[in-house]
Amino acid sequence: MLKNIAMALMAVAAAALVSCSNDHGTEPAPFDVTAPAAPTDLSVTPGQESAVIAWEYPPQSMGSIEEFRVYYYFPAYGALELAGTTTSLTYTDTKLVGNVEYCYKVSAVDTFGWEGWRTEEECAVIDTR
Amino acid sequence: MRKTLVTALAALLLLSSAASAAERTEEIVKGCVFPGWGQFSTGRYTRGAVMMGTALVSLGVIGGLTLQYNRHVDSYEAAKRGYSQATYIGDAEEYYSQMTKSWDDADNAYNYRNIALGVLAGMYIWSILDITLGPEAGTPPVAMELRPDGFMVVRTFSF
Repeated sequence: MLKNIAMALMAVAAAALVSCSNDHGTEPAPFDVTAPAAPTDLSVTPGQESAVIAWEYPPQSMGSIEEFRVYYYFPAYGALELAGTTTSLTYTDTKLVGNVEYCYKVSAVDTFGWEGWRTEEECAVIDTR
Repeated sequence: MRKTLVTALAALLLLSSAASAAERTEEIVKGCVFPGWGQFSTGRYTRGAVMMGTALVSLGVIGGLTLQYNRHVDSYEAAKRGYSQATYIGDAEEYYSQMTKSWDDADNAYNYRNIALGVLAGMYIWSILDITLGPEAGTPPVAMELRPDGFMVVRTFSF
């Protein structure tokens, strides 16, 4: 009986020794990602079941922007859905439902594929036909 | 009756001294198996209890910290995967923050576990050295001492 307990304790000690390997590696390298800042002056101009979304280039980033991404933003859920992408400074969203408020956010994507910070949302109630 | 009893006790004492060398080897083996076990055999209960208790606590701490460490490593790996796959700067920052926190937690658990492991190793070394280099077992915890008028039961404590 005592021998069995001793063997079990020795097995636990051996398991403890074996399990003490270093699996977490070296300390992570410093954060070195640079991405575009958020576009500025976002505006939403409602039209008849459509909207024109406009913005300006993020500061000091002209020339390094590949495209802009326009998102629908649902404040009640804090959720985003991609509406479309464009290389210009405006985006026309069509086939919207009248008398419904639509919110948008825009971000810039640089030439390395990094999507920068998104703007604050801008909302507008869409006109009916 | 009394003479027979005294003779039997004397024979027992003789036998126990002749077997002391073999017992010492056995105590060393016990000390190698688990700290304090050898001390228990020699009647040094307090010392054995300290060694065995510390070793058991160390094992418990090592086990607990190993579970924590594995959890933090899993969390670190998940955050690392998310970070390497992120294309949005906001996601990258969030994953990086989780990654560094999990790494710090894993590193702390690893270091504390190594301390507990050191304590356990220390108990093994102390236990084995104590038996190997220490004095002979000496008076067993309960012994019969022969006296002119009979015998006396001797109870000894040592640390």
